[in-house]
Amino acid sequence: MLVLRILARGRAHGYGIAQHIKSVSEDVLQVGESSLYPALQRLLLNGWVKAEWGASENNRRARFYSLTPAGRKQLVTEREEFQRIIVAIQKVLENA
Amino acid sequence: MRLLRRLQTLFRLGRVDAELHEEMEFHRAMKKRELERSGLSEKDVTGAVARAMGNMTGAREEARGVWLPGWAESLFQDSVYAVRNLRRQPGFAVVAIGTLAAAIGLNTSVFTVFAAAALRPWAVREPGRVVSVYSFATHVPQGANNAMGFSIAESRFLDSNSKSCDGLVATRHSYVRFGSDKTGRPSNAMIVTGNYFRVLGVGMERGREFMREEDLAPVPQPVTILSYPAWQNRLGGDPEIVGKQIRLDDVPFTVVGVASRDFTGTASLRADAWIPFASLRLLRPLDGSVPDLLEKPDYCCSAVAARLRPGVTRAQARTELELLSRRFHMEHSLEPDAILLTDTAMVSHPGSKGKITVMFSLMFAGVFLVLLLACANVGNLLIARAAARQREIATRLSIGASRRRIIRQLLTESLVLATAAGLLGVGIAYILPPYVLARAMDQPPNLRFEPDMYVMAFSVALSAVASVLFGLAPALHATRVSVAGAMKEQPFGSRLRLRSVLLGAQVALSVILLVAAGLMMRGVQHASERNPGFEVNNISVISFELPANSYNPGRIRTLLSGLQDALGNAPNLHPYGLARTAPFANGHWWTSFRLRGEDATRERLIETQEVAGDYFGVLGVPIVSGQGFEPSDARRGAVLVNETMARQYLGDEHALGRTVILGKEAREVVGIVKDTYATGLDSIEPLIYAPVSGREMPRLLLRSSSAGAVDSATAIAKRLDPRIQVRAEPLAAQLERHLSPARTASALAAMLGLLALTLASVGMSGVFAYVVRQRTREIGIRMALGAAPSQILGLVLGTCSRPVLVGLAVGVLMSGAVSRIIHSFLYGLSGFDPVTYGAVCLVLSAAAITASWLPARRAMRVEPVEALRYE
Repeated sequence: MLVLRILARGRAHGYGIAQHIKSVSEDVLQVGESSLYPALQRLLLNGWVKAEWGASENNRRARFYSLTPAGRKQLVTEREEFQRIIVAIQKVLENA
Repeated sequence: MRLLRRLQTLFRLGRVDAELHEEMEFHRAMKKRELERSGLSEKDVTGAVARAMGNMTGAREEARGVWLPGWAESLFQDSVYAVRNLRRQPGFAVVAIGTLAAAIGLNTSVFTVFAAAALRPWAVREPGRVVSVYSFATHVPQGANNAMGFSIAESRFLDSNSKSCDGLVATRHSYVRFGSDKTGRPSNAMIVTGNYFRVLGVGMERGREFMREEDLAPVPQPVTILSYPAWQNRLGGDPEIVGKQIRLDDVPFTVVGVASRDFTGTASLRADAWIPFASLRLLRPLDGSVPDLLEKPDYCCSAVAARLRPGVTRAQARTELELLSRRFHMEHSLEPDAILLTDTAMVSHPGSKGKITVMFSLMFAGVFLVLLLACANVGNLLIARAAARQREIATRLSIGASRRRIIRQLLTESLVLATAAGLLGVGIAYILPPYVLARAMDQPPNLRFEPDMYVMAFSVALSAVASVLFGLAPALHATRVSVAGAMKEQPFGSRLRLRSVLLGAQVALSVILLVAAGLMMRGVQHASERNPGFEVNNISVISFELPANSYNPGRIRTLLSGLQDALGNAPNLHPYGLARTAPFANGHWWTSFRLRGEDATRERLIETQEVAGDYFGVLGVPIVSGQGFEPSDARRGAVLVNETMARQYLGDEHALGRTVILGKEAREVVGIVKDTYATGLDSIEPLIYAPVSGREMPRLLLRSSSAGAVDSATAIAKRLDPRIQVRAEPLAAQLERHLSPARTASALAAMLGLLALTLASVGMSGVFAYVVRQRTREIGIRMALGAAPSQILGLVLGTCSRPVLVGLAVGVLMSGAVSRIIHSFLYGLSGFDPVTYGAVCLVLSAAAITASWLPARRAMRVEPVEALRYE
């Protein structure tokens, strides 16, 4: 979901995604390569993202991922689901 | 969609990997730059990058695993490796695949026939709802086949009253001749009720189904529907055939349709044309039995099938039909019958079920033994190959491959072999059964051989089973090595033991197959050499085919007396005999029989022959007591019986003069005839001889030694009616035909036996060669110490012969058990026929000696010095 959210802002390569997650979450969330790349492959398999090769900011060849319409829809569903759970957890924490 | 994407990616898995690699390299480079900028020293950067990235290869494999699970990938790799390995040893691959393909092909062939006969319903719409319907006489008679069809009247009654069925159809077989075709075999016509095509739901290639009014009695219509093959072969596939007239038995019929391509009828013979029952009046205008057939409530027996309403079970339908049948029988004061519903596969017919089951079990058993043999052979080859690959396997084990992993890889190799063989086997099964059946039967049965889902599934399952059968033991063995020992190339005692066991099993299996084949061949030989109790070689059988539409029983009787008068006046045709069925004919007639004074429940079916003229004189069958037929006996109702009949039912010497009830008529036994094998060479059954009734044209038996006898008999018949077709053949040909199924069966068995023998020989020579190769050094030492070549020969033969001898002994014992099962195919030959067993043991021993000859010679020629230097 996090990866989808990052990509919703625009296309990015693997390193960029990892950096983004790290910086946006202020170093709380660190995505290791061992889970990032299999996760990206799974997103590709489900057709939620597509990949294309392009030049990176320092002019190296890099693979850029971007969201597909199906991925956008998936992000919305997952966010709603996540929101629901967070709200539920908070309710339990506050009222129990 | 996911699947599609997955498949797309699988085709370029190599590129996916490279891309992942490049992508992660890029990631690493970026990370490094980032860390460098944060001011770490170069040495620290490398370590930090490595720490940050973690196990990159693992990550990459995991990422790839998203597309292709690990096990599938290694299976794929193993297969590729196996194929490469096999291509490097084409000789081994050809032998192994060929052996397995032959065995799997045979098994699949038998299964194809089985599937066609047992699993495949008729080619109709929703075949699952169509059932065959039989009636069962609950009161009489015992023995023989009790499941029967129905009268047309009853089937029509059931059709119009049944609520559980969407309709019942009745069919009957008849022969017709197309057009002006006067020679060759007549075609198969199925006489059917008008609703036949509609109820069964048969698609039409051309034209339409029968209409209701075409089968209504008062106004018969000359209409017919052709089968697709008949349309193609007999009428050249004429596209304008519908509406045209063709002649069936010289009666003009209008073709109203052509049935769909794959529908060949619902009988055991392929139908060429269908005709409504009512039209029989046009096809056979003079046949007195036609009105009876169409109208009489007890005129047995037409085959009946029904289509069940959706949701109705067979049990429900059976109950309803039985109630309706009771009502019908009550209304016409007939005995009530029970009803039986079965599916429509050929073997489900209650009359043939037992026999066909036995036949198929035997065939399956036979070909499965061949498969086991083939597996043992290939297993042996694999062991030999594993011996050659010891070093490779030991190396892989020593650098850390698990035993499971290597076994899996070896099994994958077996699977590759079996898959290739399975594919070839399906090909064999596609060609073999139609070929064998076409050669073995004079009319192909109504079976469709298609390599359908069942056949494919069977073949796949068989290949998998086979690959485990022949691959597992060698794989287990090959990996049970001590790494250090294998590196040093030490021989393994236990491997030889496994091979000996396999070899013994092979010998035992081939003994069983050879004994079975030998017994069957000896049985046929025994039967053909058996004195049938009458003259065979010097007799001609002449059959007359009357134009069917101009003869009724009355006219046949007139023709018969004319024929007999003319024959009587021709001195060169003496003696002559007339018989309803020729000796050894495959047609049999049974009549229900009881003694006077017994009530109807004691009735049994007895085989009956109708004779006239000097039938017994022509065949040289003596009349043991009493007298033969006089011309006046036909009216007086006298019968003769054979000795077995007299002994079993008539109290032997008291038989003469007793009165028996045949059908519904009282007959007097006037004579006892010597037993013969005229009705079948396997056994002598009780038999009743009655005078020719003239219901149908009997066959004429003549001594063929008198010159021109056949010609003058033909001339006499042609003089009486020029339209009569006359066919003559020697009685010996009839005998040949009688024996031909048994001959075919024994030839097939012999084929299996020969295949088994070949496989066993190959197996034996392989093992023997291995033994010699393994003991070369020992032999060399012995020879260096002064052993004579003959002693070496003894040593080699001694090692080799033990498994063979054990196999022989076990095989002979098991054959004894098997011979009891095939007892009924042996024509009275003992299952312990010493000639067969002796010959089989001899042949196998000879094969074993031949197989050990080359290796033994090589052993004797071992140069001591060279042997010691070997390695």
